[in-house]
Amino acid sequence: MSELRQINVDPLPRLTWHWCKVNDVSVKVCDEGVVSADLNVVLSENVTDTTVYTEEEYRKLESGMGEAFAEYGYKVSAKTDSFRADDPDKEGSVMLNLGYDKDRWYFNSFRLEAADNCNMTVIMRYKENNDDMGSTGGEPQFHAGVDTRVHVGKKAKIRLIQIHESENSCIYNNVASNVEDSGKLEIIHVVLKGREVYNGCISQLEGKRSTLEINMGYIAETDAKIDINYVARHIGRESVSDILANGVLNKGARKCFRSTVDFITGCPGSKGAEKEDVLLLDDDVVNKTVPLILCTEEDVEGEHGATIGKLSDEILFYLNTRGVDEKLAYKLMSTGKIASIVRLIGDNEITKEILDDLEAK
Amino acid sequence: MKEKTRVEDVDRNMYDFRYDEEGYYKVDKGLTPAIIEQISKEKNDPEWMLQLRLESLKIYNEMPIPDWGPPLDGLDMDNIVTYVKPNTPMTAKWSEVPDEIKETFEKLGIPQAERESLAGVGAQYDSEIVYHNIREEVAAMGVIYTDLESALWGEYADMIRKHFMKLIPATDHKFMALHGAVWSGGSFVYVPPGVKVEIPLQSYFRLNAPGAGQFEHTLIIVDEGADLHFIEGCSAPKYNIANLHAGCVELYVAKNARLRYSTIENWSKNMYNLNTKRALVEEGARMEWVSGSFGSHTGYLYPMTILKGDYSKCEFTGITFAGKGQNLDTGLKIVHTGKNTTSAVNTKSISKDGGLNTMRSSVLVNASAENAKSTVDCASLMLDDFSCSDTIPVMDIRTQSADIGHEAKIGRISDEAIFYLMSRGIPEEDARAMIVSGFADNVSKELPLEYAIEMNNLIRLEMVGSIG
Repeated sequence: MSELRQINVDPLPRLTWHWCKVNDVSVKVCDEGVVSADLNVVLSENVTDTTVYTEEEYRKLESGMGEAFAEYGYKVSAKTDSFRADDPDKEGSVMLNLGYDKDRWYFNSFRLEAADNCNMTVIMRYKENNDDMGSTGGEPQFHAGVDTRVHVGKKAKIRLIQIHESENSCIYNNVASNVEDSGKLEIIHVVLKGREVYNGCISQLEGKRSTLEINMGYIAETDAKIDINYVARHIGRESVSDILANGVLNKGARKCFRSTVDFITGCPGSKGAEKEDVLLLDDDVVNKTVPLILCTEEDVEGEHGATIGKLSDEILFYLNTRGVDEKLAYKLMSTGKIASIVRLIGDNEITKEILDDLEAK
Repeated sequence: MKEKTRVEDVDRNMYDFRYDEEGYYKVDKGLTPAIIEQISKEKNDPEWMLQLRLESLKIYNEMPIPDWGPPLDGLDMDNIVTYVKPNTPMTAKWSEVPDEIKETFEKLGIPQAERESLAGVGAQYDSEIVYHNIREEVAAMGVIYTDLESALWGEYADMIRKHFMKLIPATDHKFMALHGAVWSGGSFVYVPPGVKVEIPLQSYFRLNAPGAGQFEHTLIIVDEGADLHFIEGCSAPKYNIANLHAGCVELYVAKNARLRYSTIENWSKNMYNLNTKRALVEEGARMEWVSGSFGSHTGYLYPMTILKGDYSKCEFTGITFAGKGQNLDTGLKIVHTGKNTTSAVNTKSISKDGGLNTMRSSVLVNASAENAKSTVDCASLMLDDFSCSDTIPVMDIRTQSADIGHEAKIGRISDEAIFYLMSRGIPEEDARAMIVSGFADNVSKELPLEYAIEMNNLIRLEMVGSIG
């Protein structure tokens, strides 16, 4: 295994004070010996599986995790798995199960495309191949990069669901996307486990009335680290973005949530909203929230809201009057926060599996 | 729509007059140890102050220019004169102030304001305070309000040394280091325990010389249980070359005290305003900031509040108006350290005629700040599609018992509101100005009446020509 080097990822679209330590984050990457994860693919009939993807296409889209990561991915990725929905009459579906073993460096690249008027749902699950890694906390036992490039055609829709279910992982999860006229990209991102998660997503809302909807739910415990960088770039007229994150931090977990709504001149009538709701369960946690609104267009509406901290006295009082003590109230609300995002997945089997897992915790 | 007040004629021309600096003492342009020593000698610094200046210069030379804010390319320190001393000593009588300087402050309404509504006034012209006075009854309560240079040698010399640049050291950032090296002028205020100053004190800073810098230092100590409202005003005539303002404000608010610090900043649009302000708030004390930023070519301004004591509080109310040629990066920083501390922030920003506005903030809640509460509310108004308005907040929360809320909104003046007002016979330009004034209401209602009217007049002036 070659030496590791550092790159900076998840760059904030506009810098702020360096002492806040939110402008980006430094991570280690490995340039040699990087392999693809074990990939189990289940496709519906109307989805084409092709691996043709040019460098020009790859570089066309801006990366949520930043250009340094995109360069790294391009260098170490063995191939790109591409999936295209091109039947307007049938919704396509793709299930991608990525399996990992310990002491390895992985990288996988994907390209997802919905042709004009076509719909596709893609579910990606990041799991360990075996359960012999245990759940020890401490350093990650493997590192995995995942680069997903998404193109949503006119009046098309892609639902991209990414689920982190590996206890011992360090996952670099990059999404780069563009959406054409009246297209919609919906991303559901659920982080249930993991030592370190770096997650960047930029969506270029190029088309008129194009839409981005991101719903994220996370639980971070036992010194785990989550770093997020979402950017909704409004280019087309009347484009809409809605970013929501619900999370719980416990036992020394650290999280930085960056989200940006960027209104570019020429996107009149656009609307963007971002909201984060974080429940803190421990005094050793570190929660950073960085919600940017950038605007060079007059006729837009942008808003941000964040609530961070303990449960409100009103909720606690209400639950107390229903016979729920404080400890149980926190458990219920923690589970509820993630469950509200998990239920958006839409696949009953997966939803039940995750909710049962949450309940058991 | 004419207000019958003494500030009804507020006009850019009001600020755009100047006088020659004939006979004034100036150091050479640029920054060298020799220039620093020259300033120090001219100001009759104690030895420790000379050493502080030289150490600050060293830090300045080692620190990088910020890469996160508005560009500072037009600011060439080799072409800035850092010390310009008017040809007059400080006095407590307006009659003893030289005519052209007296005329300057009369045009700005300072002597009249002093007579009508202030407990004391300090007036700085270029690098030195030229007038300082405090009402007898306020002085009789033990309130000290004087220029900082006098205080360095008087009864309060030890207090100055104990507090000067301790809250904001030269290492804080490059322009704080610059300030440490070349500071001159400013005020020292001490309010003894339990004394409540019923009417405000005001310091007014006027930079007259082209290509010069102003680096005043304001040090305020409000002792236990005391109460003070301090107002800071500033202006300059416009020149074609860059001027620089890198002042510093250090505020110490003792147990159960209250300090309100109000600013109406209206520097000329060739000014680089790189000002630094910080308050340290002890147990049960309260810090209130009221800030209006209208002038300057480029601004970096983020008053910081450290809520050190348990149950201490901070309120921040601010508005920034960026027009043509302006790049104003404003905001605030709040650090919660004490238990049960509270902060409430309400800011507004308006962008017009290509003005660039950035609202930048940081709320840090340390692990020690159990039950800290913070609410931040930012609203931005875009008046055209070639201006820019960015909101960049950071929240860093490290205790589970915190209760933090943040809201930010950006939008435009609604066509329905304009239409309604026009249907009532109000011309479109006036309708827009009324709506913008209403948008700024949170700030103006916190200011003394005279200053609120001045602020509204400034907004109206900025709005002229906004239609078509």
